Amino acid sequence: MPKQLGFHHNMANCIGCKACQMACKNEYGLEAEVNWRRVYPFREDPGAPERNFMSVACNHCENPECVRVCPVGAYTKRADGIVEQNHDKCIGCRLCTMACPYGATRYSPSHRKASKCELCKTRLDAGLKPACVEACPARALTMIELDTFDNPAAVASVPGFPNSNITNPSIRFTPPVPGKQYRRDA
Amino acid sequence: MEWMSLVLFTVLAEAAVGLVAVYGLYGLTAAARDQSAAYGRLGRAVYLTAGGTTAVAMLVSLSHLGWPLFAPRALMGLGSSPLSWEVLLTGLFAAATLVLWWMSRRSGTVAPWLTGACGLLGIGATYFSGRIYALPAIPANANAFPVALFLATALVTGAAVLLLLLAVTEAGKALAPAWLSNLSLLTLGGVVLAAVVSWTYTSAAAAGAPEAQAQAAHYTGSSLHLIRLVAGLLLPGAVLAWMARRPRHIAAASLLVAAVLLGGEMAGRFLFFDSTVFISFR
Repeated sequence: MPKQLGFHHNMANCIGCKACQMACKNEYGLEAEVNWRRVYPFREDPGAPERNFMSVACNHCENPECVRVCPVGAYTKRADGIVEQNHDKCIGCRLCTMACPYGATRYSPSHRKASKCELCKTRLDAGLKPACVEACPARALTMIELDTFDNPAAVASVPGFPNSNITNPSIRFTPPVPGKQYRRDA
Repeated sequence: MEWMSLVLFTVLAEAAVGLVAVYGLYGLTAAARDQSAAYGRLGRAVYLTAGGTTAVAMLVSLSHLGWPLFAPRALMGLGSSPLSWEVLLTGLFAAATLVLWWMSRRSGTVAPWLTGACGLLGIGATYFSGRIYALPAIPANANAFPVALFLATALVTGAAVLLLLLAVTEAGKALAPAWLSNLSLLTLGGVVLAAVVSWTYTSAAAAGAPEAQAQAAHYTGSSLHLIRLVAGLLLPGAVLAWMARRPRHIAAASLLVAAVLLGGEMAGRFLFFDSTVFISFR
C-alpha cells in the first residue's frame, strides 16, 4: 500500500472546543466565511444532549472527487497521499464544492476561488505537526499514516458521516463511548 | 440567484441543440425533399438562431465563474472532467452552426450529414452537461436523470423554437402546411417526456437516501414547481394538442408555446440547481 497520510479523530476524547478549527483559520488567515476544518455536534441519541463532536477537514481521499471533476486540473494527489490544490489555477467554477461528499472544499466570495485543507504540507515539510493537531487540547486529533495505523478501536465511518464508499477517505474515527445520563424521576 | 447564469446557459444552449437536431430530423421528411429550396432557406434561420443563442449562452455562463477571464483554462481537464468536455463540445457546436449558416448563405443548401454531425456535437455537449451534475456526492443526481432531464429539455425547447421559426420566416411558412401538425405532436411528445422524466426524478429521489429525500422535498415544495407544472407543461401541452388537431399557421400560438416552454424549462432548471446546491453546500 502506498503511503497515505490522514487524520484520526478520537471522538471519545473530543470536547468540541473548536480549537482545531480556529488554529486552522489562524494558520492560514482564512476569511470569516471559510473554514477548512469544521466541528459538528454528533448525537448518538436524538433525545440526548449534544456532547459528542466530529472534527472534519479534507480527508485526502484515495479517489478524490475534486481531482476528477476539476476542469482546470487544479487538484493533484501527492506521493504521500495529500490532495493539494494549485490555487493559481482555480477559476472559481465551484464544481469541486458540489462534488466533495464531505464539503471539504470551500468557496471564498472575496477571493472568488475554492480552497481546502492541504494537511499543512509546509508545516509537515518543516517537521511540524498540522496546526489543528497541535492545537487540540484533548489530543483527540492526530495525523496518521494509514498503511501503518493499527488501532482496533478505530473505524472508517460513523453514523452521520457521508458515504465513505464514494471516495475512500483517509480518516479514521474512534467512536464515542456511550455516556450515562442520570435523571431524578419526577 | 447566483446560479441564474447556469440556468440561462444550459437551457438556451439545449434549445439551440434541439433546434438543430429537430431541423436535421425533419430533413428526412418528404416535404423537405420536395421543397428543398425552402428547407435550405429555413436552415439559415435555424443555424443563425442556434449559433447566436449558444454564443450568448456561453457568454452568460462566464458570469458564474469567480475568474471569467481564465475560462479557457476549463479545457485543461479533458482527461476526467465532464465540465471540460461540455465547454469543448458547446464551443465546437456554436462554431459549427455559424459555419453552416455561412455555408448556407453562400450555396443555399447544406449537406444533410453536416447538419447531422452538428446536431451530434450538440447532443454530446448536452450529454456532458448533464454528466457534470451526476455527482456521487449528491444521491438524487448520482444516476442518469441529469442527462435525461437535459436531453428532454433540448427536445422540447428545440422543437418549440422550430415551430416559432415556421411561423415567422418566409421559408418556414412554405413548409408549415406539411410540418405544423406533426411538429406540434412531436413537441407535445417532448412535453410529455419532460414531465415523465421530471416526475420520475423527484419520485426516485423521494424514495431514496435521506439527502435525496431532502432534495426532492426542496424541489417539489417550491412554489416554482407549481408554476413549472402549470405554465411550463400543462398550458403548452394544451396549446400544442390544439395546434396538432387544427394545424393552422398561427404565429401567436407558436410564440406562446415557445415562450412558456422556455420559461417553464428555466423554472425547472432553476429548481434543479437550487435543490442540488441546497444539498451540496452544507
